[in-house]
Amino acid sequence: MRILDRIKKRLGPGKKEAFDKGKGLIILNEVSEAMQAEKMLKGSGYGVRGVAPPHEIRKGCDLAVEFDLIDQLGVERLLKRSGLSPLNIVALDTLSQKPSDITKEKDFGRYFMVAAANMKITVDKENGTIVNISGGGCPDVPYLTVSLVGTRITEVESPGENGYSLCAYMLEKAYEKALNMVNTQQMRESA
Amino acid sequence: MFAIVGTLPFNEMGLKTGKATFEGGSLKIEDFEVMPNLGTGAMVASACVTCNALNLEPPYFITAGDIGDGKRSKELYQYVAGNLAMLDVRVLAIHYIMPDIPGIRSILNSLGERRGGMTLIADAGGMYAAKAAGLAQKIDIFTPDAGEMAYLADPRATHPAYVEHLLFELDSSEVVTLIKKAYESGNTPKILLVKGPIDYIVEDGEVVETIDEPSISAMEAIGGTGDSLTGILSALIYGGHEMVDACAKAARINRIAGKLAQPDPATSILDIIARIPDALKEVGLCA
Repeated sequence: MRILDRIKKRLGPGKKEAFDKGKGLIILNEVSEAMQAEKMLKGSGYGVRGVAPPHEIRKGCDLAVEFDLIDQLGVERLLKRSGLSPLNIVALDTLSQKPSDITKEKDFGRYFMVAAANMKITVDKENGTIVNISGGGCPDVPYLTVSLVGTRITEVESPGENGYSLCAYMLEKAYEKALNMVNTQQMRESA
Repeated sequence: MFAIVGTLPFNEMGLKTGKATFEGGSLKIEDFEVMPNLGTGAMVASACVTCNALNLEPPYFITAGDIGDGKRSKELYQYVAGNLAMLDVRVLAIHYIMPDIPGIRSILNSLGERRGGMTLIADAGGMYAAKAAGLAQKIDIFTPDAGEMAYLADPRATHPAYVEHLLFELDSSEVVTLIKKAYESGNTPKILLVKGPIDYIVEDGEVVETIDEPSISAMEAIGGTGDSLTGILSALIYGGHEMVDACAKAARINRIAGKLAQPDPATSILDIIARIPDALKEVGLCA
């Protein structure tokens, strides 16, 4: 099957219409947890609301928290700090979709680059220093770049610790892969 | 007027508006001075350098500090929607900003009848927001890379992070497939400048020109090379170049500036921006 036909088949109109574009759902264990999450996130300035989760993604609680997907990283961090562990976080537009977890690597000789969705991180193989970050469109990417570039990847705080957006979320994916590659290389060299 | 809307990564910086200047590696707006890295800083610096070399008025920069929580991005959307009608804007570029569907909608709605005389360029968060809102066709030019092209090609994705795996896995040689898919979905403006190993200039869904020389593979890794491209492109359009022609020229100028900087993957975008005037000379746009 031609690639364009395969894409059309995968992305053709589904049975369900999308909910509000750009919204996600936090699914928690219990109603009380959902209420706690809603209150805490509202208190931190996030535009959230309690909603009934669609049947196909109900896993326990009958109350979920709707949020702007773009805020996913900051929302997840706050949930974690508050001791709340969601059963799932999904995009409402496409209930089966989760952020991409695919990374691609490119070898530049002394350097290697890892791409995750729209984000790329480039590392010096010789000393593990992050030499460049590129891509993205959310405001935390330039902010994170300032603290990451020029620092050894094994010594820096991960982007997920200080980022807020989905761009930072994908940068975290690229960072994790790059860190893993550096650690693997160091273990090989010390063996 | 040539206006650029975008955030800078400083938590302490409130809303600022005014002529931007770039001298000695520093970008200045009102009383704020910053050394740009990737993002809107690099884009505005490149636009300033291009305008200066072509004897054009420097860009009018509308910015606010945002480190990712999106609060000042919201202020920026509101300010632009409320004040754009009072500015004589001929070219408007929207860049790094927290993608916000109501925000981008409010800006586009505020244009009204003045939209006709204005060229609208969206990249980065501005492009993500316009596509997510289903308003891509209200923009004149997007400047995506291959990963962002996959986002435009996926009608359901509201951010590149949610792109269908199949699309992200496509090889960069299959960008044309993504362009066709995005166009069929109505998620492209009239013109696309798709940046990558080959730059594709697309008009109404058809590739009208490709640029692949000079080929500098390290530029893919250098943060800000896409931003410099958008800055050059916007300035050329402000200088009177027709949109498709400006895309082709901007792609060449950015590549030549990259070549002149002799970069490796660790090179700073500032080294490439510094070469834009020489690149403009090389293509014969200034003496």
